[in-house]
Amino acid sequence: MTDQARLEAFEAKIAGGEKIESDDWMPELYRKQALRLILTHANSELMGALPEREWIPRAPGMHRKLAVLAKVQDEIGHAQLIYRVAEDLARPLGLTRDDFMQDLISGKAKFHNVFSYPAPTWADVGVIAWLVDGAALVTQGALLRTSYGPYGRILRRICAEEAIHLKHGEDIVLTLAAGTADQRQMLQDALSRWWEPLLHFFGPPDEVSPNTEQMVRWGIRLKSNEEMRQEFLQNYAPKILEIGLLPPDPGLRKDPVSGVWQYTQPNWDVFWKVVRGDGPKTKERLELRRMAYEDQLWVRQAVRGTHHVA
Amino acid sequence: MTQRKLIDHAVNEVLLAIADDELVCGHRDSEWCAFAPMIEEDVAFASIAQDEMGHARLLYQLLEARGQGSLDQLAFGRPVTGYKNAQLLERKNAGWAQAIARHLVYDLYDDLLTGRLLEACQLVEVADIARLVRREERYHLEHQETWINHLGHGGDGAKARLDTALGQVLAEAGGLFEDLPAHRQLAEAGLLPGVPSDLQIEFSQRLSALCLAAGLSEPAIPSGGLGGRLGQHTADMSECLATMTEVLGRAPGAIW
Repeated sequence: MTDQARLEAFEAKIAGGEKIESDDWMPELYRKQALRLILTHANSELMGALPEREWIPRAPGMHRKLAVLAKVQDEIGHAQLIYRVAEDLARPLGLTRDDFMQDLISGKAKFHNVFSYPAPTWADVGVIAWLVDGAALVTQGALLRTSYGPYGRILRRICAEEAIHLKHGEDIVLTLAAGTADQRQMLQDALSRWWEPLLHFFGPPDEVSPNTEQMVRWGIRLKSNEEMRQEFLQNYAPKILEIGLLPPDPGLRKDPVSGVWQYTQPNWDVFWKVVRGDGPKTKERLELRRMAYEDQLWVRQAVRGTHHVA
Repeated sequence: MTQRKLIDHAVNEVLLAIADDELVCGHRDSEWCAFAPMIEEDVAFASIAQDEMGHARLLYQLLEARGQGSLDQLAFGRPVTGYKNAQLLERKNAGWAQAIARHLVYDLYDDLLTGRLLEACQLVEVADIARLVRREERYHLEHQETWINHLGHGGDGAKARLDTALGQVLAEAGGLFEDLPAHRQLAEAGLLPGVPSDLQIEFSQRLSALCLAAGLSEPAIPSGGLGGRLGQHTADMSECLATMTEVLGRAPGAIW
């Protein structure tokens, strides 16, 4: 079969709603774009564990301590599942998990902007689990129909777990909202801190990537950034207002006619600065990852050595 | 105190010692989450941490039912001198070899404590919890055995690190086997078939067999690290407690 015929068969398969599997033929660009998307997701799950893990030892009470620990365990478990999918996809390119880790630590590979921000109080733990996971559920939900079969299948499990995280986060938020004046202030401050990163979460409204059109045609991208941001605002803005919290945007309102949420554009220069690896906590968290990875190199070497003997 | 009250008090003391061991061990395990040598192990250690703290919760809840205060008061609301965990378990994490060595020692001790003493306890609630705990601890022990085999057969460097860590851990592990007057009272009253120090010989025999099979050196006899059961702790315990209560202490009595 010629490459052209293969490509046509591949595109017909996607157009017909069939899934691409790891050992199917795929255009090099599809493999690379899918891998980039999947790795960014895996890296985000792994880096996303860091802000919350700081609060496992400090969680107030046994119930919260166990819940936060289980939640962070889920996130790292997601990273593991997704890296396994990426490993299969990357095998023909000669890349392994070690390469993924090196690229992450060196700053070459991306992780989601939202995990470059600090989580200075317990209220941040609630806001992250409720709203950051809520935002993630919007983007991941949009990918459930992805053309790459192995990724779509694990996303079903991931989304189911994220939905439980939302409940956990919402419970922390509602408890603080019903608490003392100090607890309520802590919660409001956390929301105010996370508002801009949450609007940034879905990316700029006017997408300029040259590959976007092809990514959509190949079923790697399924919804636009603005569609997803609207879905998020539609799901969460009313709840935020209902519990008496104030998003730090006087322009936030739902247009009664069009049903579209109006909001003040966040500072997109800040967004791009974080994308370039210059977020408030980007370097510090990558440094933590690097130290953990390098300090334990001897362990991985020992384990691999045993495998060779056996 | 009447005899009945003395025994009730002794039961509470013994339960508290076990619960505090599980709490502090689980807390230190949870600090590994996201920093273990590989992602698979982050997940495994987080799971073990949840088991250990889950055991602590069961025991504190039993104490709560026995009128000793609420779960969170018991777990987080005592002065440092009120905690009865062995000092070994409160020590700060110090690398993967220490994590595996300490957990192996603790899991083996816990297997003997639950299997030899607590499952035979004449108080049915205690025996029930012991059976549940032991069922889970068996998997922890298997996990640590897998690790000592990997590291023991994973080259001279890894073996030396684990041997050293085991030596350091065992030099503080005596506190696990320390008997409280409460243990002796329960044994004399026929509620327990023995006391923790009775477990030491079998502990050393089993540890030795595991170590030799993993290609490690002959382990030392547990010693040192005494006083934890009596509320004497290292600075690491104060740090641990300050961390655990940082948020709770911000608004005592508030709901979190």
